[in-house]
Amino acid sequence: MAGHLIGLKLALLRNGLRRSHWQQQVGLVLGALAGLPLAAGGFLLLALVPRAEPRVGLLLVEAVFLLLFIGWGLFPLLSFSGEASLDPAMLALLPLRPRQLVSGLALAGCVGVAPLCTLVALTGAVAGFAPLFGPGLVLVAAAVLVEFALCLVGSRALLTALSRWLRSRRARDLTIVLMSVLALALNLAIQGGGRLLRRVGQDDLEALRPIARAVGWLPPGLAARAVVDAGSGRLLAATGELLAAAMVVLLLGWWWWRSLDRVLTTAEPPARARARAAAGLFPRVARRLLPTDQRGAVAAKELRYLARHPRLRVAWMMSGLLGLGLIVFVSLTEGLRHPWIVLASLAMAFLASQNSLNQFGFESLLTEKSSVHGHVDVRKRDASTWTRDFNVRQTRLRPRLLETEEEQKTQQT
Amino acid sequence: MTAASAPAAGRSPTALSVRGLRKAFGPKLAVADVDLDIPHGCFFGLVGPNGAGKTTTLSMVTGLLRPDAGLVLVDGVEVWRDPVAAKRRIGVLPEDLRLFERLTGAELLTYNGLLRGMAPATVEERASELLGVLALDDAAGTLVIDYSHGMRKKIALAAALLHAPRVLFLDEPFEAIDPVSARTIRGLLERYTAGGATVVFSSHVMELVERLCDRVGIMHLGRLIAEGPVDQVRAGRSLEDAFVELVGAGDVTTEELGWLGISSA
Repeated sequence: MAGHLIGLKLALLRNGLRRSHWQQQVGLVLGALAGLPLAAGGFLLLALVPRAEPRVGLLLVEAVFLLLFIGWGLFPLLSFSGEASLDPAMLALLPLRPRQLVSGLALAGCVGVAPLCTLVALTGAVAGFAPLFGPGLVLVAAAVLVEFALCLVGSRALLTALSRWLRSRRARDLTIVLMSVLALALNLAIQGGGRLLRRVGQDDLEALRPIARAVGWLPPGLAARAVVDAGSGRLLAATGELLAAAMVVLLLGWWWWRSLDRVLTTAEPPARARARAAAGLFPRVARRLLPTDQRGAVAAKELRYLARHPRLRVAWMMSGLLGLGLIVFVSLTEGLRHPWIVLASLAMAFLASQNSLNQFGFESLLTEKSSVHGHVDVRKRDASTWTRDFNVRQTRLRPRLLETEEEQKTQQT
Repeated sequence: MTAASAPAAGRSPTALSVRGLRKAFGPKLAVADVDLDIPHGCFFGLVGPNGAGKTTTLSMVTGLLRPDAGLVLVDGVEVWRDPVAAKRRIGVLPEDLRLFERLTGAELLTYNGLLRGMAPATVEERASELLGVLALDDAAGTLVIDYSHGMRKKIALAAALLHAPRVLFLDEPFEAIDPVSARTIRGLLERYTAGGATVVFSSHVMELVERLCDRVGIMHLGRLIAEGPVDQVRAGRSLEDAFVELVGAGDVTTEELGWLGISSA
């Protein structure tokens, strides 16, 4: 059974490449290859740094184990709608017991670029901590495998438990928003994190010890502590931590099994319209401002779409967050000494929001099908976008102006 | 749910036996105390307006949706006591065609058979035959994501038939199927029931049900309001007339939608 599920996963991966255009294929291969340097980087980090700087060993391995665990939990949730092999309901018609599915899907989950990269990176801990021979080596290797199992089983259990919700339109919309926010957050974290790391000295490292102690009690932290303790010859402590982490794997496996049992016997009920309070044709806030003709109808539709269309939601959220992010980033690194940063953030927000002025890309079909003239459509779309930009500027400017007034008052006194 | 289970001593007298089947979604009662017996070799049609509870009933008798109450026996096996044993005996074409889109038609059938525990040689032989009969042999190497809706129905039907189930459940099998393919499928299903297997299918097309089925059940508001041999249910009328009368569909009066066909704006 497991062999067939692995074959199915491989066929899906192979056909995913086959269907794509050559440009997409190149992109997918490059994407997969980009994972390998990351994996190699993780391997080197875990293999070399603890030997060279033993004091940071535990901190480092805890951070890497925790990040991998979170990554495995988060990223499959974001790619759920695009990857059929993650959806257990696809197998609901087959006479398979949840126990068979758990073992088969767990093995199939080990196939792919992400598991390979994870294993490569984690193997660095064996090179970085394990003694050459003896029970210490076995315990470190076992702790690495338990960490991998935590990532895999935890991720699958969470996916299965949420699979029904993840198939909903609301979840797909939210995924688009989350992916955009995450991409922005990752970018900011890399930019800001790099600068902050350069400032971190030995004293700051000591300040991180309480956090490390807390993380050490989380399941990936237990596996990390087992690696470090086994490497330092504290075999009894390492065995205890390893057993505790393995127990969490079993608990996650039990949760996965229960969720599978539920998913396989809970087909989605026929779609039922969610009761929504009857809304007028025009959004309430704009009801008095908009004319009750074709122009008003186009503007009203645009304003509704700002709230309902995921791509437009992303557009206005991004324009706001980009502007805000710039201020946060500069204040973290330079301090808020330059008032021009407010103008720069506004400019950035404005430019980002202009992306949504891709009038002929978004929803142009509706206009084409109706008898609304093109220039009416464009003018009212512009109107709704400018209304939004104005709101963004107001919310951005007000706190900054108040802040400046406060500063002036302080200086005067 | 009733705990009693009918022992499958030899062959069960009915292909499907349902007692007191019930399901509610929140305050809405989707299926209300349905009782039903379908003999072996029967071609059974389940009809009803949208939202009548047909799909919910089919989901519950095929082990896909756990009922709130009731007993379901498929070929003598109590479905909710052992859903896996029941799924071995049945083939299902669900309304919501959730297929592995990035497999070819041939791969989809192959993995379906292998995951059902069939021998690879048998899977290959049957898959090839089914693809040929359903006129999908040219598309055997095409990914399912590139299939038309009708082709998807046909490949899902092939997957449901691959293991030669004792009872076949089809939810709207002829929807979006071209007339030539529909004729092929009808022939296939008639031959299948002639061999002693049972087909239960839901449809909105009364003429089709009238032509194909030995027995028919009419569902309305979650209840089975009529069930029996087709001639008995229609009682001298067309099945559509009998259905409309039983369900009580309202006609559009001349006062309603009076503007239709008069104004252009």
